[in-house]
Amino acid sequence: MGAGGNKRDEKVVAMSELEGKYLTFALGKEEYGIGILKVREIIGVMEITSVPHTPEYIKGVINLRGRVIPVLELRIKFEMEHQEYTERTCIIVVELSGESGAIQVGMLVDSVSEVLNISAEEIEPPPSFGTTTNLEYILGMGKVKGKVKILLNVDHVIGKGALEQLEKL
Amino acid sequence: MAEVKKTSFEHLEAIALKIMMVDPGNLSVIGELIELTEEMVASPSVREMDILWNMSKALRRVLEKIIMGELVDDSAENFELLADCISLMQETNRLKGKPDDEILAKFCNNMNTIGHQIEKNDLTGQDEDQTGRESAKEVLQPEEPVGQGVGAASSEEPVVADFAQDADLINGFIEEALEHLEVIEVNVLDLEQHPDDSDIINNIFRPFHTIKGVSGFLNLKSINKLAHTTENLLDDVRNGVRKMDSAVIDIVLSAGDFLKSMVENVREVLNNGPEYFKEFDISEFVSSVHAVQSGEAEPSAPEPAIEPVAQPPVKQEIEPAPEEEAEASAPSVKQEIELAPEEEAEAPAPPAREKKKVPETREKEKIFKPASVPETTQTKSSKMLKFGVAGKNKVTASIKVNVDKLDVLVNAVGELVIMQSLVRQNSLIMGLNNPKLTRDFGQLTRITSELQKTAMAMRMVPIRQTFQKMIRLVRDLSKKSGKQVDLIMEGEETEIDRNMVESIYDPLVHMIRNSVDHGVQTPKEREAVGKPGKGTVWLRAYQKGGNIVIEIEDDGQGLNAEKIREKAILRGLIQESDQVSDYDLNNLIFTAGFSTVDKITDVSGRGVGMDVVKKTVEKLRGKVEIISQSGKGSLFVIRLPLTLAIIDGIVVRVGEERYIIPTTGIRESLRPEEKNLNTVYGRGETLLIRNRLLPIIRLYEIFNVEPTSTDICDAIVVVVETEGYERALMVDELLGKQEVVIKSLGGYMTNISGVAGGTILGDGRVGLILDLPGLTSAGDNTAEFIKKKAEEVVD
Repeated sequence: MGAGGNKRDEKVVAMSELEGKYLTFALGKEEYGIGILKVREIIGVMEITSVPHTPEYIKGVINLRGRVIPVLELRIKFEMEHQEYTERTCIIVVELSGESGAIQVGMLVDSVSEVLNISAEEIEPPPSFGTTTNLEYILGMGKVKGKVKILLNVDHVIGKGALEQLEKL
Repeated sequence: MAEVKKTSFEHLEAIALKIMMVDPGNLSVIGELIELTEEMVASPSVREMDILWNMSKALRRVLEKIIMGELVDDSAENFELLADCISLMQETNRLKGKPDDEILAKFCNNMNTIGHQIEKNDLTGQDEDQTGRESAKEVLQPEEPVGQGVGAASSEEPVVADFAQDADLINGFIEEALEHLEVIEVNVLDLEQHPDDSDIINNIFRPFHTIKGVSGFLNLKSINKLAHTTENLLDDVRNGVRKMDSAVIDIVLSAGDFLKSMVENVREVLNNGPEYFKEFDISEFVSSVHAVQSGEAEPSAPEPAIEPVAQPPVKQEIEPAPEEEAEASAPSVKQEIELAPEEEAEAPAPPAREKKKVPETREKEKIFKPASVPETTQTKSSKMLKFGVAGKNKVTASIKVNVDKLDVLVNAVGELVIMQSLVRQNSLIMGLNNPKLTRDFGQLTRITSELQKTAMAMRMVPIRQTFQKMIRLVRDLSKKSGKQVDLIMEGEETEIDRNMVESIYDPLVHMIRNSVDHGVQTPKEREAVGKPGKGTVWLRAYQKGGNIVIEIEDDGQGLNAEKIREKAILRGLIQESDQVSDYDLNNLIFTAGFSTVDKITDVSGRGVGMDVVKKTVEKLRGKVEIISQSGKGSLFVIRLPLTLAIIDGIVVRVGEERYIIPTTGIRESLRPEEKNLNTVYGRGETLLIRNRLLPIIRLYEIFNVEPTSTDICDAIVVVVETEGYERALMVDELLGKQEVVIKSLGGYMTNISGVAGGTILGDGRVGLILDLPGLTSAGDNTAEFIKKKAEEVVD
C-alpha cells in the first residue's frame, strides 16, 4: 500500500483547493456536500421512466425540458435501503464532463439542506477505514458547526467510475 | 430584379448611407459598398450620364484598391474624402449629369489624394477613345501587384504566409474557395455541352476572379497567380479572342484541381502548422496556359497544355520557419471579407485584351450576402449554393448560420411543441370549455407546427451539390471507357437532411459508376441493338410522402435475370424449384457477397459492393431496390426518410411502460391464437404465422416490468424484422403511431441492449425507442446509428 500512502499525501496537499461553496443534502442520517459548481439545478421528483438492463441504482430517465437525462438513486448507490419518496425528496441535476462533452445526470436525495461556505481549515482528509474500503469518491470531511459533512467527488460517484462499472455489467 | 430599376439618385443614396458606416479595416462593409457601386455602374439610368458613370467607375476602382490593400493608407481621412466624392456625385446627379468644372476638379483632387490617379478628362471623356484610355490606364494598376506577387512566388524563396494571424479570414477563404471550385467544375462541364453560352463562361470567370482577389489579399501567392493566369485565359474567351475549346476546358478543369489541392494544403497548414506547407510548382502550368493563350487562336496544341498538370502536387518543399509577412497589405483585420462577385459583362467596344470590365446593361444575377459568421467550418453543406447553375437566374438571399445554433433551435422548438400539448391537455384547461380558448389554442397549434416545420426545413439542403459532383464522374468514366453518356439530372432542388448529404454520396457514386461502367454499352453495341449511340443516365430526386426518393436510371443493357438466377441457385440463395419473380431476382444483387465471390462479368458485372450500398442506405433508415429489364435498362430507387432526427414509430404499452418500435422494422401486428403457439422445450416459444415459425420475445421478461397479462393470447404480438430475421414481440397494447424525435439517454447509458434511445412523448414522459437488432440479438448497426444520431441531436 505504499502507493496508497502517496496518494493520501497528495490529498492532504490538495485540501486547500477544496475550499469553497458546497450544496449539502441529507441521505439517511448523514449530510453530504457536493461542489456548487457541479450543480445545475434542483428539481422535485417527477415521473421516471425505468430503463432495462441497468444497475439497480439507476432509476431511469426523465425529461428535463426536452432533454433526456439519467437519474440515479444515491441511497441505493451507497447501499442504503430504498425509502419511499416524500415531498422533500429532490433530484439534484449535476453536470459532469463526459467523453462527448458535458453530460447531465440527476441524483435522487432525501432532502436538500443549504449552500455552505467551507474553508480550508474546516476540511479534513477522508478517514482511513482500512485497506478494503474504496474512498476515492470522498474528497474530504467538512466540519461545520460541529457537524460533519461528507464532501463527495461527484465525478467518481456517478461519473467515470460509474461508467466503468456500467461497462462491466 | 428591383435593383435594375433603381434611379441614379437611389443608388447614390444607398452608397452615401453605406459609406457613413465604414470604418477603416471593416472589410465586409467595404465589400457591400463595392457591391452597391457595381450595381450603380450597371444601372442603365446611370449609364445615361457619362460623367456620373465614369465617376462611379472611378469610385469602384478605388474601393477595389482599398479592399485589395493596394492603398496602404485606408484611413478615416480617406473615407471622408470618399464620402465627399459621393456627395459630389450626388451633386452631379442633381445637375442631370452635367457638373461644372469645380465639381469635377474637386472630385479628381479627392481621388488623387486618396491614391487613385484620375484626371478631369477621364471623367468628361465621351467618345470610346477616351473611355478606352481611362480603362487602359487602370489596366496597368491591377496587374502590378499581381505581377509582384508572381515574381516573389516563383523566383524568390517560397514564403509561407503567416496563417495563424488571419486564421479566421483564411478559414473563410478555404470554405469559399472550395465552393467556388465546385461551381467552376460544374459550369465547365456544362460549358462542354453549350460552348457558346456566355453566361456559363461568366459563371466560371467570376469564381476565379474572386479566388484571385481574396488570395491576393491574403497573400497566398501561388493560388493568386494560378487563378490569375486562368482568369486571363478565360477573359480572352469572354472577349472572343479565342474560342472555348477542349484545350481551354481541360486547362480550366486542371486549374480547378490544382487550386483545390493548394487550398487543401492551406487548410492543412492552418490546422497543423507551417511545416505542412507544400510549395506547388505552378510555373509549368502557367507557362502552358501562356502557350495556349499566346499560341494560335485556333485550338491546336491541347496536349502540351495538359501534360504538366497531370500530376498537380509535384514538388514538395518544406519550409519550417514561417516568415513574417512584412507587407503592409497583410492586414490584421479579423473580419471576414466577401469580395463582391465582379460584374460580368462582355466589353462592347474597347480593346479585347483589356482587363477592365465595361458593364453592359444586362440584368445581373445577384446574390446578396450579409457579413458572414466567422465560424463557418461546419456549415459548408448547410450553405446555399452561391451561384445558380448556369443559365438559371436564381435570386436567393442566404445566410450562413452555425450548425450548433441551428440544432439548439430545432431542439427548443421541439420542446415548445411538447409543452404546448402538455398545457392543452391539462385537465383544468380542458375543463374550461371556453370557445375562445379553444380557438386560440387552435391558432397556437398552427403557429407552433409552422415553426417546427420551418426549423426542420433549415436543416435541409438542396441535393444539388451532391448531384453536381456526379457530372464530373460521368464525364471521366465515359471518357475512360470510350462510351458516350449523357447525364440528365432532375429535381436537384429537392432538399435532404444536412447530415445525410455526406452519407449518400458514396452509394450514389457506386451506382452511377455501375450504370456507366456496366449498364450503358459502347456506342457500337448500342447501335447494334437499335439504340442511339449515346447512352443516357438519369439522376432524379423528388419527395414522395415522407420520403426522399433518389432514382438512377440508365438505358443500358439491364440485368440478366437468368444469370442471376443461376448464380443464386449456385450459392444456395434459392432453390431450383423456387418460383422467383424477376424483380426479386434482380434485388438479390444487394445480397452480401452475392457477386464479389464470383463476378458475373460477362453479363453485367453488377452487384460488386452492392451490399455496401444497401447497408449504407439502411443505416440512414432508407431502402434501396432495383427494377431492371434485360436489354432495356435498369432503375435504382433509393428511398430515404426526410430527416434523421425524427423516427416514425408505433407506441406500445407493456405494463406501465411505453416503448416505441420503429415503423421500418414492423411487418404486422396481431392477436395470437392458442392453436398457433408452440413451445420448443428449453428453447422458448414460437408462433406460427402463415406457415412461418416466429420466435416469441416477451418484452416484459426482457425489460423486467410487470405486464398486464402474461397470457400471450390476451396480448398483442408485433412481428418485426431486422437483418432478415423475424421475431414476434409480445406487448400489452398498441397505443398508436407517432413521429418522435430521437434523443440520447445521456452519454451515460448508450450501450443498453434493446434500447436505441429515448424520446419525449406527448405527456412529457420519456419513452424508450426499441432497438430491434439488439432485441433479436442479430446485432446490427442500425441501433448504433440511431444512438449516434441521438447523441448528435442532444450534444
